[in-house]
Amino acid sequence: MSSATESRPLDWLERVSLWTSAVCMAGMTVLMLAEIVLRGVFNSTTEHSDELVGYLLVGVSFLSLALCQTRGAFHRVEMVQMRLGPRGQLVSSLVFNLLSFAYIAITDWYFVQFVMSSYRREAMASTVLATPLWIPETVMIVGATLLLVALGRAILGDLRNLFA
Amino acid sequence: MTAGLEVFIVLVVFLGLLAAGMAIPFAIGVPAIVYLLLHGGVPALKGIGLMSWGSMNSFALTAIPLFILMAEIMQHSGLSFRIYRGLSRLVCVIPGGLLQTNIAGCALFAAISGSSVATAAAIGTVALPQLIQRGYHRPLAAGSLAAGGTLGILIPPSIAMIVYGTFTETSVSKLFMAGVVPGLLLTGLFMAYVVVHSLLRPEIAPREKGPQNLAELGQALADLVPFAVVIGGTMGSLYLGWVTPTEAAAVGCFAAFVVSAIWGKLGWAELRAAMASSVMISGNVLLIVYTAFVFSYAISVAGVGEDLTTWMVKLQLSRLEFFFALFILYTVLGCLVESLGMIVITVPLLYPVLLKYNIDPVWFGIILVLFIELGQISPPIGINLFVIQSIWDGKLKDIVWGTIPFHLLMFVLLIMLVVWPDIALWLPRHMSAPP
Repeated sequence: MSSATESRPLDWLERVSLWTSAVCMAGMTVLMLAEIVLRGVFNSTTEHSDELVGYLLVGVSFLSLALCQTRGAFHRVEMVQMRLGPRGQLVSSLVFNLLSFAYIAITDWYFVQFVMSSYRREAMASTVLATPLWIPETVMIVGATLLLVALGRAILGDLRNLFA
Repeated sequence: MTAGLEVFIVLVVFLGLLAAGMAIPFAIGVPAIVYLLLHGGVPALKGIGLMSWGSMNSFALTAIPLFILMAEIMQHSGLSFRIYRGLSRLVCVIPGGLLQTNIAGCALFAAISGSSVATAAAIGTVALPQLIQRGYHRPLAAGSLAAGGTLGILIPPSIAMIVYGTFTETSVSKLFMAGVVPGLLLTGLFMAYVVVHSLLRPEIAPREKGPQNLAELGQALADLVPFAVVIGGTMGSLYLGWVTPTEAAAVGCFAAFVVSAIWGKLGWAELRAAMASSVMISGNVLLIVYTAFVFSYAISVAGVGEDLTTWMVKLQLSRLEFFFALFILYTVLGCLVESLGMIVITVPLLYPVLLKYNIDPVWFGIILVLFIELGQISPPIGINLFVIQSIWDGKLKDIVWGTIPFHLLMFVLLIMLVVWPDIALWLPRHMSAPP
């Protein structure tokens, strides 16, 4: 089993993926610490931290995926791969990337349907903030679309290498 | 097509894609979509958006990226080197020398890391060159690190426990506390084995000298202070009921930042590297969790959980027979499926059956984590074997041989947990309720 990460400089897609996810992660930490201090020291609460932290987790979960894909951070079992020749590895990589692309494209399509439905219904969080839900939900579309771009690039790279 | 055949096809597709080398989250997600299409056609896909939002907009899961960030800050600031340096002076006087330091170091690092891979990599990178240079028995040196690394998910915090807790709606705080005594017991078993082995065969480990004076003793203890602060801050506040697991993770990040700035090397470059690494590890883990929710959604749409429960209940297995069946299932799965994959594929299916047998979900969580630990050092895909392989020049076969005694000790702990469930359940009963 392995997950290989590369050390080349980040391109625009990776920078967007890294920094948006990092901001979400830092935001989660700050919100949680603020909640602890408010509760412990001032016997008060932000009242919004649970809600906002949930949104930020969705951000980390989906926005980080493009970076994980391009940097080879997803774990995989290499039992069979190690026994394949270079061409076999290329073909299997192409097949896996195509399947992954199809899976994420289907998911992304239903994310779009879901967010549009929230927008049309003017769905709002049942909290004090009453956040219009389509706003945080859109992060799922952005993250999945960035991942699709990363997978599309990988497929093109596989095809180039296969026919080179 | 019958429900049983559908499940069989989906599991074959999953194991086939996994073995063939597809990235694990996609190898779970693709069969889940296939299953939804097989069972309900295109309309069955319509719930994906709502299910995705509902499952990932989760306060409990928030602890995962924060615990990952905490460990990455400590590691990138070079503090994992200090654990090993401090412990190597204190623990190496016990027969087995630095082999004991490996295990104690892994146990201590496990208390700030929720991952076995991170634990094995952090301690292995520092330890292996010294062990080889000083002439330690190579298979045992590598085996103790691979096995010691597995303590990462038994001693809290533990990513595996957070995922299990999320899927079964079990208290993550209780799961964390339930892991403490078994984790310490397993550390003790590992260390006792190394003592016995090195007394019987002194050539496996040279005798090391402990601290020669008070100044050296003080220096060794000082090396452990940063970890005491971080572990005390996170697990202490959790045990006392001051914070939730997610808040404990945030406290841990803050404490890790402060101690790394004071005692480690934490500049902008290290912080940026820690953040990038945390984002990638979190993305990987959270996508596995997310795709598992898709899989879980697929089996709930098909009603397979209820069918399986009915079938298992009809078999009228006793509790012990049921446990033995689980033992066989997880031992085999551990050799084939990656750790989180094992939880997320089996727990949604088996959890209703556990409830029928009145099995305590906290206790079962600890048993499951032990099975995962076994899987992490079982060939052919035990991930810790490959982590250690990637940082030394020896053969994989030697690492596998080196882990066998530790495998057996994990089975001993499993049996102890079955006979005396209070080993796991005693501490959670005494903790204060979270806010």
